[in-house]
Amino acid sequence: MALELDLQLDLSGFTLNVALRTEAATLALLGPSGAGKSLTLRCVTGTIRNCRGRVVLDDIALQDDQAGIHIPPQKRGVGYVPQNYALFPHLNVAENLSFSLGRGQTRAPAVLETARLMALEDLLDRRPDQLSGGQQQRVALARALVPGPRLLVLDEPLAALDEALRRRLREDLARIQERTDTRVLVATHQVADAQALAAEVAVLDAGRVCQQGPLDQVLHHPVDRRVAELVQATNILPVQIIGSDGTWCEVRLGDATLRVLSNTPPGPAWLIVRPEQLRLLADHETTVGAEWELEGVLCDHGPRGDIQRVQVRLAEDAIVQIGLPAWWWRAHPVAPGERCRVAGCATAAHLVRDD
Amino acid sequence: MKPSPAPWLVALALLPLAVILVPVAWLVARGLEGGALGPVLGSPVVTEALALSLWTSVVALGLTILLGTPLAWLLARKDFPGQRLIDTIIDLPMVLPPAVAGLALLMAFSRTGLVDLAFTRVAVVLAQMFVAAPFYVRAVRSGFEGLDETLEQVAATLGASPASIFFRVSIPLALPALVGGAVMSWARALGEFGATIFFAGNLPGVTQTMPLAIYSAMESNLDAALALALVQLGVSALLLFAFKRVSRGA
Repeated sequence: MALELDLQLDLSGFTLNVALRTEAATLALLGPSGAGKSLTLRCVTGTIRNCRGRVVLDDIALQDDQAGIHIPPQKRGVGYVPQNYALFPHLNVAENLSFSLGRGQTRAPAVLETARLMALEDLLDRRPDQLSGGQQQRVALARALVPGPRLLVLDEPLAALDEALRRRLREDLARIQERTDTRVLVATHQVADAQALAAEVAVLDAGRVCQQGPLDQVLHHPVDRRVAELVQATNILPVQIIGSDGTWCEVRLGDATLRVLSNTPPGPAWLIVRPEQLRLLADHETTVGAEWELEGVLCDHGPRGDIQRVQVRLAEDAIVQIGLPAWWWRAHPVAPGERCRVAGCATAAHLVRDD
Repeated sequence: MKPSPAPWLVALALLPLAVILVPVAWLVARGLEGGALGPVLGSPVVTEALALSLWTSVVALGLTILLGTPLAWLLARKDFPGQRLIDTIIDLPMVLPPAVAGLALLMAFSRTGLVDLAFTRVAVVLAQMFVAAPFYVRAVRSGFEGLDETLEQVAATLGASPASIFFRVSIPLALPALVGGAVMSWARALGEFGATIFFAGNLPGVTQTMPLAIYSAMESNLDAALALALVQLGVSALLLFAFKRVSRGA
């Protein structure tokens, strides 16, 4: 059971070349706008004619140019929810939901059942322009579900939703996947959205997959600097790897030397560490276990919240962001310009070569 | 508060309005004053001309919709070689003097041309289609172009065949453009004069439409011509109001 893509598409000024295979029930395509996410989704739905390559869903080829297979979008069993939802504005909710069943099917069992699943029973007679954004999305999702697709393709499903609606969509999708064994492929440009919906991500940039794997792995072990930026790694520091024994690296950051769990060969590199994996040390606190300690100067507090983001300058061109719980910050205030000590864990930082 | 526009600007803006309104007002006043409206309306020449105008223009419109809608869709949705050329060809009748159009039709469809249709009712319909269809195709084409293509893509993923997408999504959504284009095209066909007189002639009861009847009446009885003009004005104004209503409703 897998989704397999090997797609090529040439548009003027843009080349899409996406190859991936996943067994996850939900895969997120994560990438900046213009990376080719929406095009990839449309290739999967079959609504782009000049897309070449292979699309295989659970051992059934939807497209395979070499075998001469090109199943039209009508017969793919792929449900599509575009970013703007694309509800038919001239039809009411029931007519939208029953579109796939043909005319006069507005009260068909599949329509009513899906309406119940997505809590749309009271909206069946409304027109799309009488619905809120969240309701429109549920209608679009329900409409795609009525014909019983094997794969659901969602383009930026969380982008236009507030926190409550995001949670609701997450629950809706979980419920859908529980009831039917529909796979889900989502495109998103935000790490938080990928985190909310999918256990596995494929990072897309300039029309290619740069890295694919479990979300945590991609977040904490990006393969290169570009992926680190794309997954919003925040702290990407220029370092020099001065020694390596295959397990541990000696790394020079400014004047300081620290140890990082990595088998990266010596040379210029980037140290990647997420804000929540660094902490400030209180006056008499010391590091424990495999932690390292760096001296720095506090430059900025950042906005207040449950987690306070502070910026500390460690060396010439190395400023790190640190996420601190608000209670810690109240107990150990440091003013901007004051010296402070930063601790990080040798096993929770990641090195990539600078090439 | 919005600044009020300069008086000279208002005067200048009203000038084109006057250019249209003054002659029309004069026409109405003189037409009513002539007192020919009553008798003219009842005369067989007028009823025949009006009936002929109405049914030929309706047939022309029907054919235009039938043939023009797929063409407009193709031009809006597909990229193909020669598209710009076809585009220009379609617009040609709009810039061509009707006399030239009439002559061209006469050359192609008379005894020396492909088929002899000249001076028949078919010729009236053909002349009207020739000059009026571009208005329809243009309007409908931009109507289709304005549609969100993702609607059609989603419809395809929901299992709708291309024909079904066309009739269940594209046509209903482009309906205001279709109606608007149809009304403009119909109005143009109703007013058709030049191409008709060259190609279909001016035979009362056979090819004499309202504009031609007005022209003929002019030669003998100005009051009758004015009365006919009033009838034509009324029908055209009615169509235009209907069009505005429809396009506002969309």
